[in-house]
Amino acid sequence: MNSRLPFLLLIFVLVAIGLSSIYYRHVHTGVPLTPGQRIDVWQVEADISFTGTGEPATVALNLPRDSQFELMEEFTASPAYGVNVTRDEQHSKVVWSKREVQGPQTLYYKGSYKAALNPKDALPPAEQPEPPLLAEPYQSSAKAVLDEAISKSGDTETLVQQVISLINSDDQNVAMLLSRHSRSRTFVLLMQHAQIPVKLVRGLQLEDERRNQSLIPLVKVYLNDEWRLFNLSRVVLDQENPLLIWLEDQPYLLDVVGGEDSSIKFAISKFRSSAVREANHVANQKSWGFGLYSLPIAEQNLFRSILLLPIGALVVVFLRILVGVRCSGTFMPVLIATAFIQTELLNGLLGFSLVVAAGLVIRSYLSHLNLLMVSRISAVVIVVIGIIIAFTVFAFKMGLTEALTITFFPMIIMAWTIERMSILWEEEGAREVLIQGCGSLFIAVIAYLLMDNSLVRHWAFNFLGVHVLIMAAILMIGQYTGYRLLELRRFKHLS
Amino acid sequence: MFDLAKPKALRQNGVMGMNQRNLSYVARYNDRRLYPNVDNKVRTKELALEEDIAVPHLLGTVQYQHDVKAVFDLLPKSAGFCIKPASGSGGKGILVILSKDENGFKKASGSYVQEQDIIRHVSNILAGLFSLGGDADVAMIESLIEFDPIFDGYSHEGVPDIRLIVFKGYPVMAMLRLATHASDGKANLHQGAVGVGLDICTGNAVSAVQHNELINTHPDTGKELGTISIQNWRALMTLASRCYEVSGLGYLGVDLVLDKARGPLVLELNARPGLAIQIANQRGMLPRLQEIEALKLKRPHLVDRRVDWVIDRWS
Repeated sequence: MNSRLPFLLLIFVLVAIGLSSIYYRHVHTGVPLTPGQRIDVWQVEADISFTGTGEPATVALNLPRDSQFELMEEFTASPAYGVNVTRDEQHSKVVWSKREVQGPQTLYYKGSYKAALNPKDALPPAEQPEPPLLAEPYQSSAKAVLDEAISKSGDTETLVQQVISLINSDDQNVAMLLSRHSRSRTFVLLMQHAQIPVKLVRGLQLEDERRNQSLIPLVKVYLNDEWRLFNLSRVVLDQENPLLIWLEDQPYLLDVVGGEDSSIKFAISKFRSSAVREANHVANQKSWGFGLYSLPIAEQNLFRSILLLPIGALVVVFLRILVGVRCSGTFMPVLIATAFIQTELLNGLLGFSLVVAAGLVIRSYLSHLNLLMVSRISAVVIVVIGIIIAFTVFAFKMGLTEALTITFFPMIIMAWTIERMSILWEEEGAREVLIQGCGSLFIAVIAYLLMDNSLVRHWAFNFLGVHVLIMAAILMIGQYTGYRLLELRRFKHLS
Repeated sequence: MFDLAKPKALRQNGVMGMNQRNLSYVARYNDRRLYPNVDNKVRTKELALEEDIAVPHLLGTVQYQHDVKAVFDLLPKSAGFCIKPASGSGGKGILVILSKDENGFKKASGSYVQEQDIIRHVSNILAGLFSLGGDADVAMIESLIEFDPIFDGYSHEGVPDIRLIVFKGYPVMAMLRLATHASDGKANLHQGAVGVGLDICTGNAVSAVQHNELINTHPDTGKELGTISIQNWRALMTLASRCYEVSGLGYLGVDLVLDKARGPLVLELNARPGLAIQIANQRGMLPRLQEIEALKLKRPHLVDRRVDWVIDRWS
């Protein structure tokens, strides 16, 4: 038992590595578990215009810091401006600068955002500032509104709702406050007086094919350990579409020094993109996010098929050790299965059987010629090529273009298969040839069905941890000393 | 539905499966280095002769393609002979010639072959057609065994042989293999030969199977199989047991034949003996293997003590 401990430890380590790598790829990189998943990507374009006054100009645009969204890529377009994008703990902004600016100017910022995979929890509110003392009569109006709301409510949540409904009503005191402040500002003042954490934010309604949009003022209230968003402006929000919080904890959106008449407009468009591609796009930008997607397409495609072989190997191990299927050649079925992927199953089965059958007939003649083994197999290789040419030309003349894929079969493997089958025939009889031939084809078909499955292909290529798990499984099966399924029938009289 | 045995019942009866044989016995007790001792029959024969173990007489070997014609110098003038590959397995590539007359060489089946057929067979052997890995091989010519007439009527055409499993030098299980018409004169059970399980202590038949099914009589000759009893069984046990020292392999299959004049001869040794012997004996082999594995001895038993131990424990 002692000697099993390192082995079990190895298995445990492999399983842990495999599972955690799959977890990481899915949860952190965002590779979806099923193929063909698509995600929404929002492209937001900020269009800044101002008039230069002939002095040096500096334009700072604060960028969104919304934890619900993840930035994928961003561009700026600005002729002859120096551009600097800063992202740190406090700031994320883009700053354009130019020595001498004259006349109307236009600057562009374009960013692609997707919904964040694992939104970070928002920070709890910092120390609230003392509520500002308002000039009379606004101070008493605010107190009256608040008192009324408190009298009608039981807890903080209902208090917030009461304040909102009061602001929306035609209460005299509210009207007094609204004459001086905006609706959102009024709400914030009232909340501050009620000692409820609150902040004013500005958000962008994301909707496809929208131009000339502006930020919408909104308020966030800290209720029950989370920030809740409320809309007090008269703009109606579309609940179907998400909201990108652009400004939060930042004093301004746009700061133009050395220009006048500045304005900013947003244009939004949506496109759907492959979730795998976007996930790997983001992963590749991280320094250690190396992966198969960083390779050129040709190498990627090569690995796509190479990474299917472990799946086939697992099928062979499973069917031979646990089930006890007999086949000719250890991994010949896997190679046949890879050929099936090119040829499609039915064509492949038919073509393979035809070539092997024809090969066996010719091989039986070769065995009369009394040849040395190496020349005999070489002769079989040439015969196989001949058979394949003959079948292909014949099929083409007959108009059966499906049969042309027969060329995908590996010639050397076919020749060896024919050679083995033929020796088997001479030594053990046709029955054994049939058993092993059918066994090989059975394993090949099972392996093909798995290797051709789009989910399996997706996992094999995108989650390399799967192969570590397969490794662990194969090692485990390698120490299996129990009965094979077919032995249960073989030994049926012994139970 | 599929007529399957329950794994639990098989385990209770100590039936060994292929995976367990490979992992717990062949891989554990048979050192890879020693495989050539049994895979090359010329070498097996040399080792056996050093230990004074009786084997069929070797008339000579042919090693090179250009020497193929020299095979006729090695053949006996009138007696029968047998040409086999040194590294063949499972009885592959064995040509048995009973006698020579004006029609040519007479095979065991009664048909005739000519000199050129013999030459072709020898070059096939040299080219590795029958060897385990397809490697170049050596052809051995052995004198024919005069079969003990006690098996007359029990075997169709082919060679009746006795297979013993010897574990760490202790004979564990035995069976008699009889060729049938279905097996084409070969003694391989999976090709349809009859396997007669023999009591390891007495050499008396316990049960007989063909194609995995219990039978009472030989399917071709109709002779009763249950009455078979091998004479002088202890000599066979001793012979098989000594093959442990010859080969050095812990888990070993020993194939014996009974010669009319010389008694039991070692035909070949096998490093990966099959599991069919359990079916022929209608019992699992594991309890006995485990009993031997559990033996704690200050000094290993010698051959006679091992045979005594087996008879003492399992009769």
